[in-house]
Amino acid sequence: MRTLRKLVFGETWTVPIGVALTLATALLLRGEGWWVGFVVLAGAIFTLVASTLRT
Amino acid sequence: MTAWVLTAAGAALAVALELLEALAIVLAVGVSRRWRDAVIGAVAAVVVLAVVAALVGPVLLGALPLALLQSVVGVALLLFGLEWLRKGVLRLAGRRAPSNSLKEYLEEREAMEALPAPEPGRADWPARVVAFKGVALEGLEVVLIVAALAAGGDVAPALVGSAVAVVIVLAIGVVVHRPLARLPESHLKYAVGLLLTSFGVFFLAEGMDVEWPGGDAALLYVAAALFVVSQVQVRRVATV
Repeated sequence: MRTLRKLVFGETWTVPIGVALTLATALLLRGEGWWVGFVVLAGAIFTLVASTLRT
Repeated sequence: MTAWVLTAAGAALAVALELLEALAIVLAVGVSRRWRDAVIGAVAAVVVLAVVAALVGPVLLGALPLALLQSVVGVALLLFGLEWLRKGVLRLAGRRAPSNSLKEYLEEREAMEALPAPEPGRADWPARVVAFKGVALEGLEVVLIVAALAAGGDVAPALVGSAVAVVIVLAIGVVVHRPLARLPESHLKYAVGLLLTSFGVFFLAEGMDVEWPGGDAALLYVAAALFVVSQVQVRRVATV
């Protein structure tokens, strides 16, 4: 189970938490316009920065 | 066209790198134990993976409405892509050991040689289990990534990219050692992370009814933005 969890969620919780927050934000803003795509991009960037700084 | 090429490239790189790791394990088992048991373990894993692919593919492609499918695929690709990208940044910054299938091969071979020799005429279960586990775990990631790429965009480029990768890795397997040592695996994995994360952002946004300015070309500026930020992170992490 631990191997499977690592396979799907990775080695840290930062990435899945960041992706979950990005998804939640995107769901809240759904249908608002093309700029929501850039919010998703910002979420991915935030997750990447947070996950590399925490390691 | 942009999405086709990037999907094929992403699938090819991801499949090739994961298969290389599986190949390293199977080669180590074959060389240090018996080839027959290594192949039996690997083939059993391929059969299991084929069943998983047959279940996952149609479920993703057929059972979900398009917007939900794009969102699921986007989240899956973000999870895989950001993890590959995180590790890639840390490797390029010198904070994590470089990815090296040859090293993995040598370590696995050493571990297998430390076990008692297999008895003649009897099944070598440790060898079979190690080969099975290596192929199954690396292959499962391949199945999930290719299924997500195929489900989110077009099936053809994902399959073409995967097929090219399988041929390349099998060719490397035939003339192994030297090519394995020369591959810039850390850089290739970083590139896969960039591609998968870009597709993840693209599909998740499309699942939220976003019409990207420039259509498929958005993949290019999303990838460019992620490239710039990740390179800044490489320098930041390296100097911390």
